[in-house]
Amino acid sequence: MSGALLVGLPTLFLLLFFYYPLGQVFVEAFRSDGAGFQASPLWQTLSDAYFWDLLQFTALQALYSTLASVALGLPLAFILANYRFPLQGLVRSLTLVPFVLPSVTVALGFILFYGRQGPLNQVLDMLFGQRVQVLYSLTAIVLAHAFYNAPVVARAVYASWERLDPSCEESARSLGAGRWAVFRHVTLPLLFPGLVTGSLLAFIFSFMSFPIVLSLGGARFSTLEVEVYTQVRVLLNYPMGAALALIQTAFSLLLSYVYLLIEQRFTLEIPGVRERPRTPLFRFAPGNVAAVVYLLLLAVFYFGPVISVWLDSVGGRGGGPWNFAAYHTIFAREHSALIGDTPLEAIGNSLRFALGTVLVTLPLGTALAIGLSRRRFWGRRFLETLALAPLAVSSIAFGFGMLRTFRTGLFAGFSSETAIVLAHSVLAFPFVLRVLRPLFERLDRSLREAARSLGASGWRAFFDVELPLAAGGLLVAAIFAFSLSIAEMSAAIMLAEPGLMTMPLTVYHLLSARNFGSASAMAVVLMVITGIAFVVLERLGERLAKRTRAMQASDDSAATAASDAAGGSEKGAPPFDVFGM
Amino acid sequence: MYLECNGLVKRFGETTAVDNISFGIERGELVSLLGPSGCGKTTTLRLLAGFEAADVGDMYLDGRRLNGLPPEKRGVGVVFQHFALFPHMTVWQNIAYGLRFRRRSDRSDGEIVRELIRIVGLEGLEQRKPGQLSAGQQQRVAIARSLAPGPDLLLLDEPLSALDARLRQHLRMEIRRIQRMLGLTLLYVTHDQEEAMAISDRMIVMNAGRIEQMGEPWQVYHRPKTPFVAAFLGQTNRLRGTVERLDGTGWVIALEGTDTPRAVFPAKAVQAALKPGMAVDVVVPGERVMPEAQGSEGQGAAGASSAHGQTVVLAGLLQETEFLGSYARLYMTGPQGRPWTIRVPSLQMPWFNARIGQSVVCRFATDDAVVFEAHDGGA
Repeated sequence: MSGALLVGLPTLFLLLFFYYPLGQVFVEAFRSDGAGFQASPLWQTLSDAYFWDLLQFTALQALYSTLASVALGLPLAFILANYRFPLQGLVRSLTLVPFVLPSVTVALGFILFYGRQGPLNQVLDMLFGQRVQVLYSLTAIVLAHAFYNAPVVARAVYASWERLDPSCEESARSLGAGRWAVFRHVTLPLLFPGLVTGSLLAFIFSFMSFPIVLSLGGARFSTLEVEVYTQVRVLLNYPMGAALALIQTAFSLLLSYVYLLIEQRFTLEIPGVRERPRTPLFRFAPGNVAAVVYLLLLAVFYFGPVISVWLDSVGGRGGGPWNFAAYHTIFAREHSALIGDTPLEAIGNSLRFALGTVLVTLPLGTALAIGLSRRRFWGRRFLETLALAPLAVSSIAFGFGMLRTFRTGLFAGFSSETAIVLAHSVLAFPFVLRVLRPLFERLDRSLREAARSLGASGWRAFFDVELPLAAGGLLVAAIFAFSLSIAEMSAAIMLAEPGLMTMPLTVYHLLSARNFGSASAMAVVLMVITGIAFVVLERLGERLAKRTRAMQASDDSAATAASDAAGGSEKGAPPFDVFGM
Repeated sequence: MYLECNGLVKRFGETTAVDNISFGIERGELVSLLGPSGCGKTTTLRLLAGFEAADVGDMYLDGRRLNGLPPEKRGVGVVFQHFALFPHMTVWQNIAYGLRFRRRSDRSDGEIVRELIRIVGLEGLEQRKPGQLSAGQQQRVAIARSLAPGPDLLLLDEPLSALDARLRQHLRMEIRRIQRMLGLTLLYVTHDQEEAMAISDRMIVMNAGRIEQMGEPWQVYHRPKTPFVAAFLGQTNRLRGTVERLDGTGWVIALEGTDTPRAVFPAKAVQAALKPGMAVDVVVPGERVMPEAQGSEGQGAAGASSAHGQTVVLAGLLQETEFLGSYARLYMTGPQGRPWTIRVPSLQMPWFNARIGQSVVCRFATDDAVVFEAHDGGA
């Protein structure tokens, strides 16, 4: 296939289904019907005091969420990096769980766990005879964001800690620095980049978070992201929705830009890292006790809400006998007025959308990844940034754009199903690209050339050599796209219509109607699917990383003198690191 | 010529990687393409293999025009610098890969692969993956794989640069053995002058996209055509001189700073169109410079003529010595302040008793030198 096509098709896809819809929203935000900028929705919104309250709350909750995430994540990073304990690998993998746990299920878990009748309040009541109101408050939002982002912070800091050569600290000690001085002058400065980037990511995620604020904020608390949804899908105020979407997009792009700047500024290459000495955790010492207590509390914080959902789905909450009544309602072909669809159909829809997303993103992602790695052409970096932009743009704003173009705009003839699959494909595209791009970049060009010189045509060389070597990565990318689509709710809620539900949407509608049993059952089904995807991904990712390392190791032994000619090989980042951590 | 390249040019943006080069290779000949990194030798190979398209020029292999043919249609085998073995295939599968695309087959795939494995000495490793092989074994697989489809021409792109020194020497003899045994026509790209001289029937020295010199190794070494070739082959001992006149036996050149104010250089030692008054560089190979033992009488006075032309005597300040087994290297500051490195056979070392910092008197015969037009700052 010619290089132009490899790059052109994916670009066209993004232009049509990402940039064009987003552009429609911006046009709407500026539309004044000839009455000047002052009449445009954007100006109207900017001069509205309500908007400024909204912005303030959005930023404030993001800030609190970030602080909470750091407070919760830092000790975890410290423990993972400096202690040795059984199941350490498991704990480390579990820090990835938030990435695949659909946030609406977590919101449901929070409602069940922290509710007035929830286990937390029951224990508090038993111990102190008091209950606390957590739900539908800033606290609930901040806690749920911390649930998601503490692992982000922990992973970022942990990664820096792991890369930190203990020889640095030891040489500081030998130069006369005390424990505290070493921490202040050596350890902290080297951890700082991880801390800053991790915190910034936490801030961005909290700033753009949707299902959590929607479900846990109640009527009183709303953020920019949620307000776009409310204006568009509840109040049908499209102009105001467009203005807010534009502002939200501007903020999300700006924050992502700052993140990239900081990430680049801070990238430190530390050669020849020795493994950190780790002390056993289960040995009696005050510090160790504190660490164990912290880990136990963390376990309650993370498992509490999830287990509450499981228990609730089998009727464990009311104290009655366990039963599968909730599952019966889910799997019965019973029409639910709440969602305008049978729940079973919602499951079917979700699976179909996810499959569609895989089928769209995989060939396009592969094409672009190959196109970008095979040729160095002008504007290559720019194009790559364009392709990664969906990562940085508010999904609600983008979903709004898709709604406009697929209901009344350019693609009015197409079904909402198509719109959702394409929206999910756009959102999954950057992930797929970030998995596949380094893979094809690392694929030695001479492998392909060797096949050609042995008589294989271009296509044969691709199928015989490049594809088998990329197979693992393609599978990882496919599962990424699949899980993202299954769990995605923001774009889906903007595009869904009665009779066209997905699993996360069903969970949301059921929990809004306080039909917790069915919501939990659906949430469990959703968690099982994403859980399976996660386990496969984890195993596969590990094996892939190992193989990449092995390939590089053999390459290193074979290529000592001449590696500089090849420009040096990139460090083998495991395919999970699509978040830049 | 079996392979003919005429006026090849390849540009990458502003840089001209290959600048109008022409050369040929006879059937069954091993020719090496020697030059520093970035001189265009690998680009030349990639043009022949079909991985890059030449901007200008033609390539013919056995009368067939290669230009425009895709790599798989050229009948040109390649051994890559890092071997480029398919990591997901076994040794056997790697070697057999090229046989999938054969048109005619008078012998079975298995027969061919088995024979190649025997030739390169990989028996017993057929089912290993490349990752489980040593670098030397990988190299053998790469060679066997490139031979399997029976290429008309084999290109080797620095095939030994990824190996350690001992293995390198062994494998280059292996390559030579296989090339002779199978009568292969082979173009061998390398930046290692010793390797090129050791292995080639003929060598082509390249610099900055152009061919500096072609010829048999001894010719190129002893009669370098340009200062670059001399320097690249390790001849770095230089004397600045001024041409005085041509007499019956050769050019008379004044050599400042030596004990031989003027010496006659025979015409065969001269690689430039000389004119009286011209500044020249006289280059002398390190092993042709003889140091004298301290305090011994010279075996022939300065300016004496011998069968090797006239003898030039000069003095240098000994900076460092390196004993290397069969010979020793002496580093000194020669006349005109230039660094000189000379090689002394090991057996002469016992009577050579100069100390670091002392002056050493050396001599060389003008026959052994090469005279170039002087160029400043260059190699």
